[in-house]
This record gives sequence, C-alpha cells and structure tokens, in this order.
Amino acid sequence: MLLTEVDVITPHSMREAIQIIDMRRDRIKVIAGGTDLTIQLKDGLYQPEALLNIEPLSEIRYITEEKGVVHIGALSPFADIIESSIIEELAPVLVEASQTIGGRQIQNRATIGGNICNSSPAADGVPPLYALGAAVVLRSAEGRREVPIELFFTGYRKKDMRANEIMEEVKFRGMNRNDRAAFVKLGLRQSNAISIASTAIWAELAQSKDRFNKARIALGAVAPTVVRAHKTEDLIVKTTLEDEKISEAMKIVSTECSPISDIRGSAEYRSAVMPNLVYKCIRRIMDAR
Amino acid sequence: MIQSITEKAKPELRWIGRSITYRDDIAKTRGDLKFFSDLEFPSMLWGKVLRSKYPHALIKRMDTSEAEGMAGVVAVLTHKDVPFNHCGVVKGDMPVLCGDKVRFTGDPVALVAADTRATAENAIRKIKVDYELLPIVSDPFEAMKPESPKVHEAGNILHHIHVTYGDVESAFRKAKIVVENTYQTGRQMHMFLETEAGIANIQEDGSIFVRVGGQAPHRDRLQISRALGIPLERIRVLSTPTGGAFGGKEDPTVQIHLALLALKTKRPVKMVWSREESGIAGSKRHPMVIAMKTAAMQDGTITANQTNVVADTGAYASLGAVVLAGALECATGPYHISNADSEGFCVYTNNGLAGAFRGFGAPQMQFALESQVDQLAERLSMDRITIRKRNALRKGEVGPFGLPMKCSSGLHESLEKLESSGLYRNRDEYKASPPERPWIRRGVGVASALKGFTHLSHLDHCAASVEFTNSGKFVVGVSCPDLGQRNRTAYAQIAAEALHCDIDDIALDSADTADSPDGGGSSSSRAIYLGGNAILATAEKMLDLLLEKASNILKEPKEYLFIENESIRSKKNREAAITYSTLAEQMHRDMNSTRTIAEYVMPRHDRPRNGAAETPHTLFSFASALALVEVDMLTGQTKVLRFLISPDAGTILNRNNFEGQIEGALVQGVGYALMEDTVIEKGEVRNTNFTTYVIPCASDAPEIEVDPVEIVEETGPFGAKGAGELGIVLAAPAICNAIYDAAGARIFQIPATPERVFKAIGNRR
Repeated sequence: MLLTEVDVITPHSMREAIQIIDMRRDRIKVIAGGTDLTIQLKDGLYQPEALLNIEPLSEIRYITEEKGVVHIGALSPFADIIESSIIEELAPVLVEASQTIGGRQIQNRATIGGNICNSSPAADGVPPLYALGAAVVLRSAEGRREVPIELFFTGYRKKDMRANEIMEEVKFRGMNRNDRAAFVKLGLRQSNAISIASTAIWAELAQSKDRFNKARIALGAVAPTVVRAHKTEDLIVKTTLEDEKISEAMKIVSTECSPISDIRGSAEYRSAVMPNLVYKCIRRIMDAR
Repeated sequence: MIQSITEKAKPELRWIGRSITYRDDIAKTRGDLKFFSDLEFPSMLWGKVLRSKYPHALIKRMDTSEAEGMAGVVAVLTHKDVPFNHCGVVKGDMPVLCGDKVRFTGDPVALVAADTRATAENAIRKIKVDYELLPIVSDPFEAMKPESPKVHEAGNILHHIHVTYGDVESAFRKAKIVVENTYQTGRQMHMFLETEAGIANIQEDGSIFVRVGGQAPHRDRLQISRALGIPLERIRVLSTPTGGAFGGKEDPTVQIHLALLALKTKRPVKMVWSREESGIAGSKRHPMVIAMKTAAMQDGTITANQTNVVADTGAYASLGAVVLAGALECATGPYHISNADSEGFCVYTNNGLAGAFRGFGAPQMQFALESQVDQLAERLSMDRITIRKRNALRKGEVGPFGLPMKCSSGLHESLEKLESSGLYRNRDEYKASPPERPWIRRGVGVASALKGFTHLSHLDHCAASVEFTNSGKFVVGVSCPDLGQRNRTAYAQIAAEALHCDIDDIALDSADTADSPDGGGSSSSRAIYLGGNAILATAEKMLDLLLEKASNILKEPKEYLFIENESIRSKKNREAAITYSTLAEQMHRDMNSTRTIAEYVMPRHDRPRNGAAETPHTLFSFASALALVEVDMLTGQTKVLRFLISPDAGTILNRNNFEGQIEGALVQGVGYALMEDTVIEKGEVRNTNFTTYVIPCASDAPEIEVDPVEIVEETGPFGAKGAGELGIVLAAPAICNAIYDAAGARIFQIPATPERVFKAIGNRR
C-alpha cells in the first residue's frame, strides 16, 4: 500500500491514545519509531485505516529504577537505553544488545516497545529481556495488565495483546552483584545486521569458581518466538563448568531450536551454530568474573 | 575554484601526479550537488513502469482503460506506442515495452505518466494484463539442453567461445601436479546510491532533452533515436553527475521510457526507480560455474590450464557475450602459460538480467584461477608468492589467449613489494589468535590478477574537443560521465599540463551530447586512458593553432616559439611574447577558428581470436594483494582485517583519486567475496533492498594500504593505465585464500557466507 493513503492520528496524551484505540481497535495500528512498520506497510503486510502515532507521548519515554526494579517506558529509543546509567549498572546486557541494533540512526528512532510489539523472533532487544526475566505492562481502557515476556509471545508474529491495548513499559529486576549476563549475535556482516541467530544468557554466580546457581538462556531467531533453553539451563547450573561439562550441555541446545530457512541462513545452519553461540556466551560470562 | 592541491607533481610536470581536489568534490561531500533524481521542473509528471509479475509468460490481453480514466493520469503507453520496439547495448533483443511475451519478473509492460508519484504508482496497478504462463528455465545447464523452454526463439545459448593453443593434453601428462575443481560465483548487485533515474523534457524547438544517470550519453542517444524513430540531432542526452554506476547503468533503463513519455505528454517527466525495482529489473553480475584444471611442474611453472565456464545472462543478452569473453581471457590470469584450452557458454534463462559489473568477467575467473594457484603451491610445498613470481607475465611473453602481452607489466615488482612487506615477512605474528577468543583463526592470503581495459569487443576510440575562449582559457569536452570516479579531475590535470596553463583555466563540458564529441562512455576502465589520450591529441592540434597565430602576430617563425606560463614566446627574440588572453582577443577579433577536435584510436590485434569478440584486450593493468582475515571457527564468520594491495596501473595522475578507486573497488570486492548474492528462486528475486541484500558497511572495511608500482605505459596519457577495476578482481581470491590459510577450509563458492565457511570447516580433511 502507499503510505500516502493512510491517515495518521497523533494523540496528545496516553489517555487520549487509549480512547482512540478503544474505539478503532483492529482498524488502527500503533506506530512509534516506524523502523519496522513503514517497511511492512509498503510491503502490504498490514492495511490499517489509520496509524496511531504515539511518538510525541513523552510520558511513556523514561528509564527509572525503584527498589531494584528497572522500568523502561515503551517509547524509549535504543539510544536512550545505550546512554542510560541505570541500564549500564543494572542490565548492561541490554546495552550490549541495543548497540547491535541497526546503526545510530535506527537506534535514535527504534523503540524498545516497537521492538517487542513487532514480535519478530530475530528482535535483538528481546533475548536479553527473556534472560532478565522481564514483564511487559499493557494499558487499555480497562486498566493495566502485566504479562511475563515469555508468555507475551504466543507464536510467529503473534502476541498476547488485545486490540485496545498499548504497551506502556517493560520492567525487570536489576542485576545483583553476583549476576552476570551476556549477549552474542551472528549476522551477515560486522554491524547493522539482522540476526541469523542470537543468544542472551543471565546467570547468578555461586561462591565457588565456574559455578552458576541459576541461569536463564534465551535463543533468538531459531524458533517462531524467542525461546528459553530450559534443558540446557538445567545442565549448566549447580555444577562445576569444566569444558567437558559445557560441551555435554551444548549437545542439547539444538534440540531446543526449531528454526526455519530464510534468506539469511538455512535451518540446518541455525541449529548447528546455535550451540556455539551459547558456548561463546557462557565463556563470556565465565571470563567476566 | 580548485580547492586544494597536495603533493608535488611528477618531475618536469606541473599538474600530473598531484592529489587535486576538484570543483564539484566539495559540493558532493556537503550534499549540495544536485543529481538528476533531485531535479524538479514546473508541471513535471512522474513516470512509472508496470512490470511483469511472472518470469516467463505470454501476454494475451492488456486493458489500460481504467488507468487512463484516473484523475491525474496524463498518459498510458504500451508496446503499440513504441515505433521500433527493440533495444540493448550490444544486441537489440530487449523490447522497450513487452508486447507478446515477458521473459523475467520485472520485464517492462506498460508506462504511466501522472501528476504525482503516488498517482502513477496507483495507476499501474489498474492496468489489467492477462498472462498465459510458460514453463521457466532457471538453471543455465538445463537451459543449454535442446528440450528446455526457450527464452528466445533462436535458442538459449547466447554465445559460445572456445580458444585453444599449445598442446594441453601432453602438458597435463607431463605435469608433476594437476589440480582440478569447480567454482561458483554469486550474482552481485550494483547497489549504487542513486537508483536508475532521469528527467526528460521537450525543448522549445521540439527536440528531446534527457538528463539521465547513465554511462554513455551518445550511446543512450542512439538507443532513444532508434526506438522512437527520431533523428539523433533532435535528441540531447546529459549524464553528469551520475550517482554511481559500476556497469549497471550501461543498459537502457529509464532513457527510452522517459523520452517516450515526454514526447507523448509534451511535459517534463521524471522517473526514479525504487530500490526494490532496481533490485528486480536492474542488471547484475553474471553468476558463473567454472570448471578448471591446472597443471604445474616441480619448479612451480604452470604448464597448462583447461577451463569450462557457463555464465547465466538472464533474460536478455545485455553485454553477456562480451562478459564471457572478458572472463575467458582471464583463464590464464596474469601468467605466461603456454598450453591452454578455454571454453565457455553464455546462456539465457528467466533469471532477471545480467550485464556489465566492475571487473567484467575477470573477478569470477580469477577467483577460480587464484584458488588453483594456491593449491598448486601447497601441493608443491612452495611459497605462495614465489610460485606467482615464477609465472608472472612480462611484456612480450605469451599472455591471454596465447598472444604476446603488448602492454607494460609491473607484476614482478608488485609481488616483490608484497614479499618484502611487514605483513608477509611477519605473517606468523599477525596470524596469532587473540587469547581471549581462542575460536578465532587468522590467515594471510595472496592473489595476483590482471584486468584488461578499454572495450574489447570492437574498435575502441575516444574523441575530445578543446575550445579556446575569448578570455584565453579552455573548455574541454569528453563524453565520459563522472560516475563518482572523478575522471574529470584527471581530464583537467591532463588538459592543463598539455595546454601549458593553470588548472583553473580549464573548464569541462558535462558528458553532454550537445557539447562533447562522441568519445564513448565511462566503462571498462577506459575513461582515463582513452579520454586522456584524446585530450592530448586535441590539445596538440590546439597548440598548433595557437602557435600558428602567434607566429603571424609576432612575426617569428613557428619553430622558434615556446610556451611558458600562459604566454607564447620566442627563443630568438626576448621581446616577442604574447599572452593567451591577448592571443584570444586577437583570434576572436579576426574570427579565427578556436575549436579543435581530435580522436584517439586504439590499436587492434593483428590476429584476433576467432569467435572471442576480438579478445584479448591489448592493454592490461596488473596487481597483487595480501589479505589478513580472521575466521570464527564456531560460526564461520569472516572478518577482513587488513589489505595490502600493490597495483600497476602505470603512472598515477592523482594519488588521492587513484587510492579512492582502488579502495572502493576492494571494499565492493569484500561484499562480493563474503556476502553479496542476488537470490532468485523460481524467477523471483528474494532480496531486493538493503534489508535483505547485505553489502559491506564501515565496520566491514579493512585497513587498506595501497603501495603502487608505477611503471610507465608508453601508450598511456603521461604513462597511465586503467585502475578502476583492479581492487574488485583481487578481493575474492585474496580473501578466500586467506580463509584457507586461517581455517584450512577451501572455498569453492562465493560469497563465502558464514554458513558456507562453517560447512567448509566441517568438511575439512
């Protein structure tokens, strides 16, 4: 479709935005930075009557911390996340991932809320949020609703979001002194690349060396949604992570993937390379202490 | 006007050799320069093409009535509106607008002109076309079988070349070592920043003026003239500035369509292809499958080479036959090999369109050959530079297609530069893995190459004009457009040197058929060599004119006169002198002729090879390079860290611009080697834009050191040769040989994507 054919409605407040979406529901599509949506509209993926342009709603552009919980307003562009001292201190893994999303121009426009709501399994902002155990907060005329991020995505480009809801924020508990996390991504070039596969891992270190008490492993671009590698997690926690032990665990990783083939890589390659990305990520966490 | 001049000129010369920043460089850097896609005229219309949705189909019926009736639509044209419905750079096998049949997804079917871009885009959707689908042919080997669906009536083999010399069989029998492999190369897309674009209007006298991003304004004019049945003199084409071309703007794209629409509507019409349209309908580099068998003796002497290549040219000929010839002449590379058998086919399929692309067949073939040479060195336990030096071609020795090399060759000197470089001597240190990333392996790759320049297919020539203005300055006309390579800076330097004047006193025509004589276009690294020689020829005539007149005025014999600082003086009489400006006034007052035109014509081969499109070239540039890469053994991802390239392109006229050409081509070659391939499945392009078609960005560009060998080519302007394509020819073989050095994995198919390298690592012996 032609972008000139679409009406654009720009609300002045979140309240007004909620009222409008409540009335027009499926016929309207929320646009923030537009880095994904404008391309999809041109390709005819969606044909909304109108766009709800929430870009000026500064009330949902914030990064705060309260009692150890980090709140990121949905409209925060990745540039805000990269520059935030709160994120740098409490979730550096999210900075690391944000820096790999497009170039500076994209980071200035693309928002964390848009990255989540676009519900692409290759979204680089999402695996760190899985690893951090984040939840999204959705708002509608009926009020607020909180959904753990892993339950938010229900299938390829499907999500638990009602037609009258707008994402308000994403929140998670900030990392403690004993927590470590890392993000590893594979693309077709050195930067500005869409992921062939990616992984983010969070771990709580035990007292003794090379030992995790808890771990969360998120895999990107190898299933209809970002997925957790639960079986692999079980194999790497509460055990001494000698090389052999890690190799053993890595054999399971492929079984937790169900990738497809696309222009960036085949399903076979994704399954074969994913354990190596997880391995690198674990090494990064272990070397960081 | 001239912004800055660094470095000294060559000895005895005033302008040649200096890194001069020329007039439009700053405007370009600032984004002030207007390209044709930036122009807008009052009452301008937007043109848009309806393209075929199917790769192979018959057109049964077309209904344009709904589109014609739309508000804002001014014209809808079909094949019925094209007086002579044939076009193409070499062979007129492309319809201007398809009438009975479409041959690839993206073939043009109808044209619309409307008052806005959006209306034009909407209107093409309202044109109804009934197609009868035909079976498609997408594999070039299948296409060669007689029972395959025919893209063109005459059959799918566009061109066949077979050149053989020496005694290949006996050389293979006597060889110490024989290496035999099959290589495959990708369908690279040009991805110029400015897509195919232009703007046309009807001038007061009814003639057509087309401003188009193209590579050869006179040839474009000829194509328009033929298709529209309008005399050449009634058409004007201007092609500077063009926002990148790389060979992709050789074929007719918007030129004829613009002229048709402007003529029909009598209003200015603009067309700018969308990025996706460019991805679907623009030409690409020919993908090739190359089977190669190479033999060597114990001492590393390469004694025989046998090559079989199949190139996919897509739906139309474009420059396919000549690209095949350009590839095959490189089958023996920059080496003297006495026995060779080189055969190739260029084949029609329904896979888009392949045509010219920087390198013109040489990158494909020399990726294969240089991989072979690397394997010979390994099997013979020889140093990789030594084996290349042993076989490096010198002037006069047997070169491409078994003919003696007529051109200067600095290949030996180039290889010696690599050999003595820190990167090569200390390669073991460079190759050490970073301790914190033990999965990284580093390697150094070597490659050498040659690249023929100027057109190979016919008698190549270039004309240039010089006008002596009434203020005593000069206007120089050469029809080779500036595509971003800054040939115009070199033209100004050559003209100022030859005419003994300040470089600020040179103005240049803008590759405009109205001003510049037909000297061909900017392609095949010809613009400096031929344009420069043509300027020298016309400058000589001009000086003759000036000296003649000065001799009359000063009453001094011509042979006593000399030129110094824009003045003509006599050696015998210190008083006798006349400045250019006084001379100009006098000449204009006396109504003397003040314009000269001269032509430089290329020498031809005494014995061209039958069927080889008059290959090989008579002129070649040479180069060698080292690439340092790191391979991630866990993912197959390759990063190019450093490049050392030692080109021999004769005298360097302008070091900055020379390095710009070498570096730009190398980085484009990094894309060719590692990431770029237009994927066509069942006739459909899968990656049409920058989201899915990945090209190198700044972080993929290696550190590049250019260490040239400057060997004067006697026939070149001030000794210069062509330099624009060397980088892209060397990149893939140097990188892939470095991947082997790093990971022990031999790459037989480019681009060497992470997935392909990962597989190759898995397949290691």
